[in-house]
Amino acid sequence: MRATLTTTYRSLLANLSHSTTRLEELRLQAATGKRMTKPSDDPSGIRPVLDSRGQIRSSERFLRTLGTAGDRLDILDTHLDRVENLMVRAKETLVYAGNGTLSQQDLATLGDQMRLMKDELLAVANANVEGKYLFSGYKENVRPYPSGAPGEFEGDASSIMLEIGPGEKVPVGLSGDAIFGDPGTGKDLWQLFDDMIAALAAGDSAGALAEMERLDQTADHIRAQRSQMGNIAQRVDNAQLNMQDMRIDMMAMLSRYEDADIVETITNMTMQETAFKAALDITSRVSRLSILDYMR
Amino acid sequence: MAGLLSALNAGKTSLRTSQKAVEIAGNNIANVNTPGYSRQVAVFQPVPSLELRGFFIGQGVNINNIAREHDVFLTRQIHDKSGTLGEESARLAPMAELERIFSVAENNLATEIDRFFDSWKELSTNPSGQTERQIVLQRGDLLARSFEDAVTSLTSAQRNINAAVESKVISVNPLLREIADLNLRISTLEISGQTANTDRDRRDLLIEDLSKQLGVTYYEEKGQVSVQLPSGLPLVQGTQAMNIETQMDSSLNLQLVLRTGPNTTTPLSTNMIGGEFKGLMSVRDEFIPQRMEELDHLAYSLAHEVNRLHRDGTDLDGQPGLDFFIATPNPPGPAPNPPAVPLAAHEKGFAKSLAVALGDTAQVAAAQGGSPGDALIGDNRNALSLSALADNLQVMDGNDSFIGYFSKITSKVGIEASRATLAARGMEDAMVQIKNMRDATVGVSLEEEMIDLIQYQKGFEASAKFLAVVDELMESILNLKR
Repeated sequence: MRATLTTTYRSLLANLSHSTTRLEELRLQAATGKRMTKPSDDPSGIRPVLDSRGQIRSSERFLRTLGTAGDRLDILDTHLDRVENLMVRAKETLVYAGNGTLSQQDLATLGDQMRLMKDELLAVANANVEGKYLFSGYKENVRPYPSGAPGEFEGDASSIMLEIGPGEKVPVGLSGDAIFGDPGTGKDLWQLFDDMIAALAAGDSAGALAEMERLDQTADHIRAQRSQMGNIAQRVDNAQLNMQDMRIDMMAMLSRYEDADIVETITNMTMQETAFKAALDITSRVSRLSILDYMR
Repeated sequence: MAGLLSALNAGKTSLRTSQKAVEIAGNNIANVNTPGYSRQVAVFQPVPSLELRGFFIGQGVNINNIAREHDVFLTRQIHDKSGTLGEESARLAPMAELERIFSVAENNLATEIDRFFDSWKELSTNPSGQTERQIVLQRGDLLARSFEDAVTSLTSAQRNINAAVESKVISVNPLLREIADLNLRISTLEISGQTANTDRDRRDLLIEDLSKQLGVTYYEEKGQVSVQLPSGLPLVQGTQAMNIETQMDSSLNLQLVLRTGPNTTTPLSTNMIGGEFKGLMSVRDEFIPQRMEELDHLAYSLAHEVNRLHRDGTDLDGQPGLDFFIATPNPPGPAPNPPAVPLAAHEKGFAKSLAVALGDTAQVAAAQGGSPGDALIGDNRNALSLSALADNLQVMDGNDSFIGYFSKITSKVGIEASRATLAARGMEDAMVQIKNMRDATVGVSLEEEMIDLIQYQKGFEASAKFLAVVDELMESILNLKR
């Protein structure tokens, strides 16, 4: 093939422009650290990139929700602990009242103590944290047990669920209904206390002692509820660790699709620079040889 | 003496011919960098011999033609490839714009979709929180705006294409006119036996340019080319050139038309043209509208699903949930309740008109139970259901998630952009090859011209020497009688 000035220069120009285009791509990759800056860089990688970014965001959300769930369960546990303590104290009082050596006066005093316990229990049942009643279920703005004559549960019987992982919901609250009971359900803590108070006030130590079985059953029930919540708290802790691991996996996945391998990029860039220098050198040589230099 | 006079004449033709050949070489050198220039070669021919006392003796030399090196096959290749190159490279600029709109960077429409559903997740942890409720409304609003931005950017990409088409039309018509003019000149010159070399070079170059823009086909008859669109509509017939014009159609889209008479025009649809115009128009009329349709479908499905669940819920006052999103005839303003139409079954234009319907944080239906007057303000069940939409893999036509569907749209843009880039690069490479082949046969080589120049110079010098010898001979004869 005949090589003319135009063909030589055209080929050189084409090579130089290919080199500069490639060099610019590599420089952009090295400068941004990203292999994928626009959809055409890797169309098949778009979905994994968008998905993993969404997963990272949602794992951050889950971690925050897990934090909230943990806080709620802690608060709940603190309150249930108080309830449990009160139940122990109530039982001690009953045992003491039942030893048969106490006077009417002593029994009446125990009855007063029992009344104070009931009031304390009521305060726990009506606990309000950050403006929300702890044991009102969904009706967090409604006082679950009106003061005065408690008994009727005015809250909502549901326990609040939080989503702590994809599709994984756990209860992070207990309804007062489930702990303290409601007259309609038969399991009514208030009635139990009222009965114990009445027996003690009347000096009926045998009658008070007869409530022992009911008290034990109720206390067991509350303890069972508390340990159930403890299990959930355990689950929340585990979920937190898992979620942190998953988040790291997702970040690795995102990086695999999106980030440039810097060592590779810089090596490629150096190679491309060498190629470009060679192309420039060749270009400058072209004009050095000409028949014109040999003609007088 | 008669013989010497004839020799003198022969010497004169040689001198004149050598000089002409030097001029031709000079012209080739002068045009070494002229695009589309074909090398010209002097065709020498001896002057017919005359019989002189029984001998046929040559009467000198003549240049009977200045031939133009030409390769029809390669020229055709260049013209054909120009059309494809034009079509692919014209797509690059609008595709780059589309890649910006459907970005894979941190902040794109997918991020807004994510954030919107995330705000529901956040609300689910504190359903009665005013801040969380406000964030849901704001994220909904930002999502609607992102949809609107994407559509607006797509529309503006279409407008930019219109502007490009309009300016190209202005440059195309003079090309058509000039080809018609060259047809006239070439046929007139060549009928009289001359060769219209430079005019043919120029016309080939114009056809190449025209092919790049419109992907034309052509055939030549009696020195005149007829240029046609790929669909067969004539652009240049003999010395007649048509005009391409632009018209606004009823929906204010710029359309190309071919003026066929003072009062008649033929509309040119995308499949009737080629080259850059086809590249631009296909992006404007096919690629972008398809992506817009998909955005509309995405916006509609998202709003529809959100509304469906939101209406199942209960708001902070225990009232049944309203529509969360609506389609507004106008972009949503600051007014809490913009004049609105309920979700239309028709999806067209939905992405652009999407807006949040709720004006009050209390209207956010996070709860599932409760009744008017007896609200369950801590009920987060509906917020949980709504946030679960983000991960639902069946919300888009039963087989994809919202983000998945958006990924598909973005992939389509990515695939098309990378295809167009590769195709354009490949065509450019091919073009370099073909043009090199063309220049290898018809291009000017300086080395070759310099050697020719030396050759013709020597011929000239020898002719001059020959004339001097003849002159001396004549002198000798004239001196005989002294």
